[in-house]
Amino acid sequence: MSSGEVIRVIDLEKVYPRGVHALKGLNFTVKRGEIYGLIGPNGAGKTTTLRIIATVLQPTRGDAYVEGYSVSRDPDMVRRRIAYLPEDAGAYKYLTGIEFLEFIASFYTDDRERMHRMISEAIRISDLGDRIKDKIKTYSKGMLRRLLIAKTLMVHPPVALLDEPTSGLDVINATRIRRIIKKYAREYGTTILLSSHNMLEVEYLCDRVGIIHEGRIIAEGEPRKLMEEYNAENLEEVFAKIVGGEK
Amino acid sequence: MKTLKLILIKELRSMIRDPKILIAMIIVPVVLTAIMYGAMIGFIGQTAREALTMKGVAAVYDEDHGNWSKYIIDEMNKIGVETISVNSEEELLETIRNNRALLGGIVIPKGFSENISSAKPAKIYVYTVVRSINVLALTRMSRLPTLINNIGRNLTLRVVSEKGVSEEFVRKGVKSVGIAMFKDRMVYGTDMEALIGSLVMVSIFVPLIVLILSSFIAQLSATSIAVEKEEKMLETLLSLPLSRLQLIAGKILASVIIGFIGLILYGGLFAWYFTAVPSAASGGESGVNILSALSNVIGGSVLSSMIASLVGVVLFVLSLAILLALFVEDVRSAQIISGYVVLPLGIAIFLALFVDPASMSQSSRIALSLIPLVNIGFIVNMGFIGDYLSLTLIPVSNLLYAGLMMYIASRIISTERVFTMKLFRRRGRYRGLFRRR
Ligand SMILES: Nc1ncnc2c1ncn2[C@@H]1O[C@H](COP(=O)(O)OP(=O)(O)OP(=O)(O)O)[C@@H](O)[C@H]1O
Ligand SMILES: [Mg+2]
Repeated sequence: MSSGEVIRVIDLEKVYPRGVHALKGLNFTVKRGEIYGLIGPNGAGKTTTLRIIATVLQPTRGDAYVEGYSVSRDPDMVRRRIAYLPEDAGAYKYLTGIEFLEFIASFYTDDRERMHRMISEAIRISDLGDRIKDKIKTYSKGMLRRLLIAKTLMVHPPVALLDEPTSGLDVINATRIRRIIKKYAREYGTTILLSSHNMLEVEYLCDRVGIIHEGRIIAEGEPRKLMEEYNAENLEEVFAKIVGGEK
Repeated sequence: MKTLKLILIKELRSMIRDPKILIAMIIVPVVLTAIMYGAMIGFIGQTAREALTMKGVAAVYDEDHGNWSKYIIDEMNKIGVETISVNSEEELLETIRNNRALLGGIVIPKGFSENISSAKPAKIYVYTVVRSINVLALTRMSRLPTLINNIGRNLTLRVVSEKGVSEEFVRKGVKSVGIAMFKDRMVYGTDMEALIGSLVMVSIFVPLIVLILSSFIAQLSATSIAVEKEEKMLETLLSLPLSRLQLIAGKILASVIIGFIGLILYGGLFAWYFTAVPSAASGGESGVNILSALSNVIGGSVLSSMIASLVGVVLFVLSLAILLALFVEDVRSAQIISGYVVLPLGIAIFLALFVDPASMSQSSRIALSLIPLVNIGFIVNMGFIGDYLSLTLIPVSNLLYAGLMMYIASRIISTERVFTMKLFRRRGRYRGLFRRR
């Protein structure tokens, strides 16, 4: 494995208990500092892939590596290198925003100074202002999502796994979050693996995308190159052409 | 250790701020206690009523040989109590000690009839042998004192109406003085009914506490994983750099701490009720007697057996609840499922109150000591009877059951299956999506 490859997924398969074959041999790699987007229709296997890399689920066959550590054999080492934002994550309703951030941060550092920096950064990312001192119970969906993005990025993980980071956000908030994600990848060299339905978002954000369909990557590359290759106006068209052409 | 601390703090904080779980936690034992208490009261009232038309045999030492002592004996016979007359206090003690079938004995002292004839207060001594600290045995013991109290009351009324009123007589009248005979000592009390009432309470106290503690802990630990799912935090937690074992331990510890706080509150309340209320009702004097009766019953071996059993019970219920938590998806079903554990336990414990180990063979007592959880209700009585084998078997068996349960639970937890299994259940909607294709 070359040192530039932070995430490497090899022949990944996942069969869920009731026999659902969600991933059927997935292969891709993500380089350091890169923003990589997994795109595909509902049920394609995006969330399953992210969960396996986040060590929440175990692969049925194949493996995934984060900075060289196997998610199935070394999950503890992997966990220390990632921060994961699940698709429909919540937060403890009865804690305040700031208490929640403290709770998460304490798993990553014992140093008060560093913890303090993480939290002030999170407050900035979430843009919650004084509401950060309110109970999470009182937050709107968008506010909650912002808080969760902040808790994911504030720890400066080598790898951030974001499952539909902007889902539930309005255009203004979504744009802000995209800008922050991009800034993070550049400034801190954070490697970002995200999933999305929104092809425009992916075009704007990602250095490379993998189009995932029925548990396999069916095309991969820089958004612009993909569009050129398939002679398409946008990624949506690329996807339609690939899926249509295969039939 | 850090994870454990963080989880613990978070758990305690959320629990205190989220009254939902705490309220349910308080309501369940209140309801259980109320039901148990109501059933108890009904049962005791029933036996009190039976006492007035009871059959049985009692020993009588009539030192008075007067017309009023004869009246007392006649009244007893009228109700259906046969009397055996004995000729000394020693003989009376020996008779009632050696004959389990006897209700007890009474001594009508010299000068009884004379006192009454001259409208002075008079006393009857009622002896009862306490053979077992058990609801059934104790209510049986309360029959003779109740009967003599009633006869005395009637006699007082009769004298008052026939002879006119002496103020002192109306106040004191014909009083029965209860003497409770334990294994090797006698406790003199003014009010035998109150004393027996308190002993009944003591015999209910321990099982009740066990029931409440297990209901607290079962609810808390069954809900604590469901809470993570309901708050949609489980996935995030599982991806954090924390030890899963400590995660579970933190949750369990939080449950145990809150459970014990609840236990102390409830225990304090009951202890106050059991000691303060009966002694207040009988003018303070019997409070002392209840304490000395208790110290008679609870010795060091009972206490250590009790503590070890409690530890076993706590671990057993905890692991059981965690196993059950595997099948729950949200807080409400967790509470329902913990109810499924606690309710049959409550019923079993209640039924066990009416089992009197004192009247059983050694082998049946051993069998009783092996019933998980319920056996803890027999500890006080086993100690009282002096069955040290059963007294040892109870904590040992409880700890063994707990070990077994914990082994099963840890087998499941350590494979991470505990989390993924639940995760799958929660995501039922994916199945729908899949079918769509
Ligand atoms: N817990 C589960 N149990 C059984 N099957 C599951 C489970 N989770 C997901 N699946 C199945 O696995 C496949 C991939 O699902 P996944 O959630 O990874 O898709 P996705 O690409 O994230 O979809 P979406 O865009 O809707 O979020 C689907 O067919 C889904 O039905
Ligand atoms: Mg998804």
